Amino acid sequence: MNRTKCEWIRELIPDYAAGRLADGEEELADLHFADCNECRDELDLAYLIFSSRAMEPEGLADKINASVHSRRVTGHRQWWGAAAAAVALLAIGLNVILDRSGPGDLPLAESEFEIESENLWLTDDALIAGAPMLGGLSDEALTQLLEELTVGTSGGAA
Amino acid sequence: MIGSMEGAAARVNYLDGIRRLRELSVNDHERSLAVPADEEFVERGKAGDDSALDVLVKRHHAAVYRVALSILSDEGAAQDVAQDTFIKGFRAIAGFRGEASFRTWILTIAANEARGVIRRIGRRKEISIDMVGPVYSEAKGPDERAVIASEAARARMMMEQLPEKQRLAIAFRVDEGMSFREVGEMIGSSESAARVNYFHGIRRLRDLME
Repeated sequence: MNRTKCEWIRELIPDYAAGRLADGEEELADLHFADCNECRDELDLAYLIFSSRAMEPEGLADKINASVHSRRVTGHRQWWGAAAAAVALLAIGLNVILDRSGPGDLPLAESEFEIESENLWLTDDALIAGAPMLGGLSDEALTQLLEELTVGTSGGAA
Repeated sequence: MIGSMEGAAARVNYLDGIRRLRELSVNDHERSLAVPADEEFVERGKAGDDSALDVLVKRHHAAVYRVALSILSDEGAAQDVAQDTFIKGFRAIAGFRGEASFRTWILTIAANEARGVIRRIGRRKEISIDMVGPVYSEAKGPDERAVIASEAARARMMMEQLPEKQRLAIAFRVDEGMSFREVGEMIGSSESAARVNYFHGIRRLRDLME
């Protein structure tokens, strides 16, 4: 048997065994198989392999589709959540940029929670921050404190 | 190999019988050229059409499952891999540019997923005789059918004795009809190396079957 033809046919054998050849190719292969025991034996083997290929479990496609859909829905939800968070961050970022880029004499914020000067230090906050509590001192006590501070400063400088 | 079926008449019956059943076993997608190509469904899937993805699953889940099974020899794990393959594939489908066919692309993902499982569990499961698929045979009598079924199961078991690349080259070429170039992509070889692996595997399998 012509070696080149055998080589050509052997390339086609898996497709022949699985019915994937075009009609014309199949007829040519049939002619060859009629005369070539070697290729026919290989075809027999290919038939055996193909006919014993595993079949997918019943319902596998539905199971995969259900899984794909559920993941995609979850994915969409996650996407919307991420998008909403991104929009919120962008809005905050833009607000900060606009505040910084605006004229310097504009009020820092036109909030309904305006800060009043006497409330600048709340008692507890002041304690935490270490701010001096001078509001409850008498004039004499204040004068004395001032003198002590002055003396301390002068002494330190001397 | 099929020594009990000597004679031209027996061979013709055998081949005709298997051919008829083989034609029944080849699904509509493989036989018909009239159905829309995968690429059309891929584009629709990219645009958010879930039903298009369903079609792609229906067309390719069997091949994806078999590729995973060829690598893993574990039916349960192969089903999980088939599921993960489509989830990952569809998640990345926006990046699918069609340089390879969708089928090659999704089967490559399946092979990579299955190899990932092997890496995690450490070794491949041994194949057992009950894992061999159904044998399509319309041979005349029950004896003849039994011989063919037994030979087919034996061939599949003997494939297990081949080196991995030879075994996978045969499985991907015969079962899935991949070209040698596609086989090469799947087993990490060149096209010519895939061809050599296939033919060496077939030759060795024939020796084992005698």
